This record gives sequence, structure tokens and C-alpha cells, in this order.
Amino acid sequence: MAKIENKDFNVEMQIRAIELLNGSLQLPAEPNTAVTTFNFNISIESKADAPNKLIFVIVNVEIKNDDHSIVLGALSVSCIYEIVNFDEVIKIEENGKLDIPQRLIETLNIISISTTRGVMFSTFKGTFLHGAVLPIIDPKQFQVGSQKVEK
Amino acid sequence: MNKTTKARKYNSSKLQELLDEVTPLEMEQTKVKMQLAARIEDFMRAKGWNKSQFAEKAGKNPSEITKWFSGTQNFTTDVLTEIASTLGVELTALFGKKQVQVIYRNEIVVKSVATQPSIVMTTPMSQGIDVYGYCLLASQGNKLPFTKYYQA
Repeated sequence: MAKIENKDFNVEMQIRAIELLNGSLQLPAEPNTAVTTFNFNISIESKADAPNKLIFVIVNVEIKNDDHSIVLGALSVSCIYEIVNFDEVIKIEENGKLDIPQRLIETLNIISISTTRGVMFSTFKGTFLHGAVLPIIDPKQFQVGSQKVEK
Repeated sequence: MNKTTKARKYNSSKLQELLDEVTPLEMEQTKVKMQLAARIEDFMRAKGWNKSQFAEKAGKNPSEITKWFSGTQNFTTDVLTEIASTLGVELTALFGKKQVQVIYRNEIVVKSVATQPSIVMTTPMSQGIDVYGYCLLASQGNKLPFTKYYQA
């Protein structure tokens, strides 16, 4: 079990499960021509289950070619975390909405992306997507304020 | 001497007949109405309002609020939306606490060039069998460009 402690942020959590939800490959029209440049469309969605003290982070990765015209593969991973001190860390507002510290969301996103990178490498090794290693992503991109999609 | 009053169990064939006439669907409809009324009242109390204050905020007559809380009101979507807006909650919150809530959503596009990948593992690995019959993975030292940096 991991503990992250500092002045204003103490969280005790553990990984409950890692699930490979989807993994697919689509062979390009010219398989003998190596694809060397990849674009990764990553979408992250986090969900919280307060009664069970769980947070689900679902990472969907779509691998496309250089000009985004062909989808070469896709992979979805769900990382399930148990926040042991959920009630201390996460406040439930009057209207039932959860107030989750931004740092916790960012931390879980970073862990989940790294986990996805590993699962992806393991899934695609030896295929034409062998070299499609998910690059290191600036954690600033996961900041709550930088959200591009708000539905 | 204190006299304690206990709830009396009343058995009546007439009452049973009436209850038997109520279909499970009607029972469920009544239950939902009662739960809805109770939830609206809970949200109102959480705001620290009484019925008159709630009526004032919603622009309704206090008698209408009493009718809402009776559990017999068949709410329309418009009225429920009005109530949710007055209480500052989402419409779905009136129907119960959501078990799972979306707390974050984001999309990122990143690019990588695989000409000089950091991780190289050529597959399939060439295999051999030792004298005991166990499978051996042959060394890929000549294929791993970074091996020399971490091997003595």
C-alpha cells in the first residue's frame, strides 16, 4: 500500500486491479513499409465510487499514423485504485458531488498512463506496433484546468 | 406510572382485499413518488430552508410545496427541472445519489518517432534447450544497442 504524505495532502491508496478492456491491431495496407511515426490520441476518464472507496481511471489510446489518416491500433486499460482514507481525502458536497484534490487526480492519471504504457508494450511487442512506445507526457497536461473535453 | 404506547398490528380482511387490488407497478409508482418527495425535502433542509422559504425561492404557493411533499404529486419533467434548479442540484440527484461519478475527463494527442526507440526487444527470441531439457533464451546482446551501458 502506498502512502503519499506532505503538509496538506495525505493519501493512502493501493491498486486493486488493472484490466485490459480492449486491444486491437489494424495492419496497414503496405505491411512491408515500416511505420516509424505514430500519433497517440489519449483519452482519460476518471470515475469515483464513494461507497466502495474506489477510483477508476480508464485510459483509451488510439494509435494513428503520421498524418492521422489510418488507425493502426487501439488499447484501453482500466486502473482501479482503492483510496483507504477516502473520507478524509475526498469531501462530499451538499449536492452529492465529490470534491477531489487536484493533486490526487494528477497522481492517478500519471500512474495510469505509465501502466498503460507497459500494458501497451506488452500487448504490441513483436507486431508492427512494437516501436509504438507511448512517449513521456508532461504532467501539466493532466492538470484539471487543462481539460479540453467537458461533457 | 408511565404508559407506553405500542404500534398496534391491525388485521382486516377488507384492508387486505384493498391491498390485493394494488398492482406491483402501482406500488412501485407510489414508492418512487414518496422517495422523490422525501429527497426534495432533504435537499430543502440541507439548504436550511423551511417550506415558506422554499416556496418563495421557487416562486410557488406554500400549499403547492405541501402537496409536493405529500408524496402523491405526479411531477412533470418541467416541474422537476424547476425544483432541481431552485435547489442548485442536478436533475438526476433528485432520483438518488449516483454510485459512480465522473470526476475527470481529458484528451491529449502526442506524437512519437520510432526511429531510435528506447526499448528494443526483438521477438521471437531464438531458443535453445540445455542438458536438463529446460528452455533457454539465447542472448540478444548483439541486438540490444543499450546493453553495453548497463552490463558490466
